[in-house]
Amino acid sequence: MNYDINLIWSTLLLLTSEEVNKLNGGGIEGVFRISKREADGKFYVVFIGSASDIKNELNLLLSKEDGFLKQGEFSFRYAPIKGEEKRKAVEKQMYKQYIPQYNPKEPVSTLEVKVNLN
Amino acid sequence: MTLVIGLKTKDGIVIASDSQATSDLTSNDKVQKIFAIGGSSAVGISGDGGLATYFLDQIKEELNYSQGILHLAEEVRQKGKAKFNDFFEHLSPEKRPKLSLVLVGYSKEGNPEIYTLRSEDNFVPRKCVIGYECIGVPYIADYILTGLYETEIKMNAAAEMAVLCIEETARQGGSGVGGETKVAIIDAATKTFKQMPKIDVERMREKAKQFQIVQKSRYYPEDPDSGTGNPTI
Repeated sequence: MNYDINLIWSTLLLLTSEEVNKLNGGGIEGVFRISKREADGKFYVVFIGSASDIKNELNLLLSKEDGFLKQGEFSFRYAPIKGEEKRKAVEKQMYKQYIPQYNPKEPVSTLEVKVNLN
Repeated sequence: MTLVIGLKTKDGIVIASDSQATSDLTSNDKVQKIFAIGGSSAVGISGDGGLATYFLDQIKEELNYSQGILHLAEEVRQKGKAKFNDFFEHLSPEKRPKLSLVLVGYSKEGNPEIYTLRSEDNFVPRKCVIGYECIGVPYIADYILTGLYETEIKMNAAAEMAVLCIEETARQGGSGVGGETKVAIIDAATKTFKQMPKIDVERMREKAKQFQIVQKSRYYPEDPDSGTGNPTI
């Protein structure tokens, strides 16, 4: 399949403060998705997002007292991408693919791009 | 094509339709497909729009509305059969145009009822036993309503559900369903037909756009072997 942008995705990493803090300081701009381990042992996407500093954003999510990350085992993967417009467009594409449980609504983006999600 | 939906609810009846008509030559998205008849009942039509409107104009003056919906359904059957035989006596039954009706209203005892009548079946009324009926292009609406509809539903929520069914059907290209969505209610308390304001229907259409299949991610598990240790742009 031809994509408008070819993203390079990270491996699936455990979503813990320790793993998140291994990410480059100074901020990786890009998109990410969080998945939860279910009874069959597989990880299923429950949240997608984008940030100018992924490390900071994930730490924020982890620190939320009433957040969805409080129960269960979670993993994440990310892909660097520059520019808010592009990030939002990828976020929208991921949302449509996964309809993640903890994203309340479809991200808004006027830009239509097709990227690889793996 | 058309989608007309009638739903019984705890506090009344909802009837909704799209408003698109398509022929080989033209397309119009402002066609009326729901008509009040007798003040406390309504009919939704699917089929040749011009024929349906003329057919209704012909029979509705002769109907007796005071005996409840069961009596009305029987009258529509008799008059419908007679009119069709008159209109199309030159055609064998299988070559005649097809017309389907959803008839909604209250029984003499005050219970909400829905009937479907089809020209190819000599307008024999079929009483609704599941709480809702769809005519025209019913497949998506039937699927959604099978999953979501409960007899405990209230009128406003049922109106939203009907709008969702029409929106989802219209979203599938080639269904011929589209244009403005029309919704009407017949409140159980007043037994009065009332068209819902356009602004309320628009709000329901916006809400319908948020409808999603929430378990979709279950079909796309993360691949633990993909990805790279140090991704870069």
